[in-house]
Amino acid sequence: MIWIILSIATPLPERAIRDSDELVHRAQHGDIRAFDRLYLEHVDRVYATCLRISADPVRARELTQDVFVRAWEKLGSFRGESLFSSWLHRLAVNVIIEDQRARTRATRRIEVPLEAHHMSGCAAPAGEPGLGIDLDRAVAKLPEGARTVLVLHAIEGYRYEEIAEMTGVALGTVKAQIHRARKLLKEALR
Amino acid sequence: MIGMHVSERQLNDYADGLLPLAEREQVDRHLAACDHCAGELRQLRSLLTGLGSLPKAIPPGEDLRPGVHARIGRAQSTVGGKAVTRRGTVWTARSQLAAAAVVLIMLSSAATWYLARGPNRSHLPAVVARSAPPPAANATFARFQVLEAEYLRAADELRSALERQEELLDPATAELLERNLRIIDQALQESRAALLADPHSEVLQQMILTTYERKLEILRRAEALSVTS
Repeated sequence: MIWIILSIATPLPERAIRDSDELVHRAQHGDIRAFDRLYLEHVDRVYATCLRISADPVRARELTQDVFVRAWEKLGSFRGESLFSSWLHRLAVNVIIEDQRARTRATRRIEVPLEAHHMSGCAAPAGEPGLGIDLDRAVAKLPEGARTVLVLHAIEGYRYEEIAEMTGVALGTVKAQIHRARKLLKEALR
Repeated sequence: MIGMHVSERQLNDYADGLLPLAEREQVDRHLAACDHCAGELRQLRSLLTGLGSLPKAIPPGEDLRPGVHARIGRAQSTVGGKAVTRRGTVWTARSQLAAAAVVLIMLSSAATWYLARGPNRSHLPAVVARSAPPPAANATFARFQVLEAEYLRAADELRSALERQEELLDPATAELLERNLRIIDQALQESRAALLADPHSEVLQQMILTTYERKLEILRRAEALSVTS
């Protein structure tokens, strides 16, 4: 009987509540308090990505909620093969891109050619705490497709191949969009 | 190269370190002689450095958890009032607690068996069995006491949180919870009594801490149920 008990005994936690792996384990078993702790650890990072790609603080907050709801639903699929932060961030990017596709289908918009005059046509997040610098405002003014791939590459650090896979855009197109976005930013910052 | 200057594609690939060796050396030679392209490269690198230096984390300005909790709760309530685990298995609130109780009954049976058997030192040389426990055993017991204190604190916190939300649990679930906690506490009492007689038994220490862990698990599940109900 002892061996049965010892074989099912969970490892003794050093700091049960505060250890990140333990938080994930608890959350996977339905512990909402552990999930809340994960939210507090990762929400700023998730929100930053949602904000920079959407360029809309209201939409970014909605997307951030979407990400954490999706994370709760999908937490069972996290096997610890990567860092939880990496898994969550990849999930966030998927949620953002799915939202873009859904809104594109809903409004039947066609991606307009990347021209310099579009830099003045897109709304920038005005007065958003933490975004006081010119560079963030300039990124926010890029057309959505270019902004998405630029943020993923230049700020979030994904490789071209990863971005092509996540967005469903051809690798050559990803590179071309990033190059042109960089050119537009250089011109906007002069 | 385009005309007199490096092409946009080449300049970007050069800055990204993606040019093949021969092409990179060609661009190197051109940059050494062309102020225009060298200036473009400086601007590009400055831009890339600036983008890479932007803060990776930005606070959303408000707590988004209420919205998240509400949506998680709605998703659960749409499955006929039953809590749905992420692995796709449907558990009722009561079956979750009942499953945890089965484990506890096994643990309390193990404690009773261990007590009836008595501490078994027959595998040790007689001189070791009669001598004082080694320093390592004292250190293990000290560590056990520290961990036990942490478990007791965590259990008290969860108990208090649960008592504040007790009315949110349905009566049958609340009754099952109380019954399971009584079983756990009885098992702990018996195991603690055995440990007093044999304080350096790592088997008993392990069993007690595992029982605490299961108690916390039940309390967390109950609290999670009360929050999302």
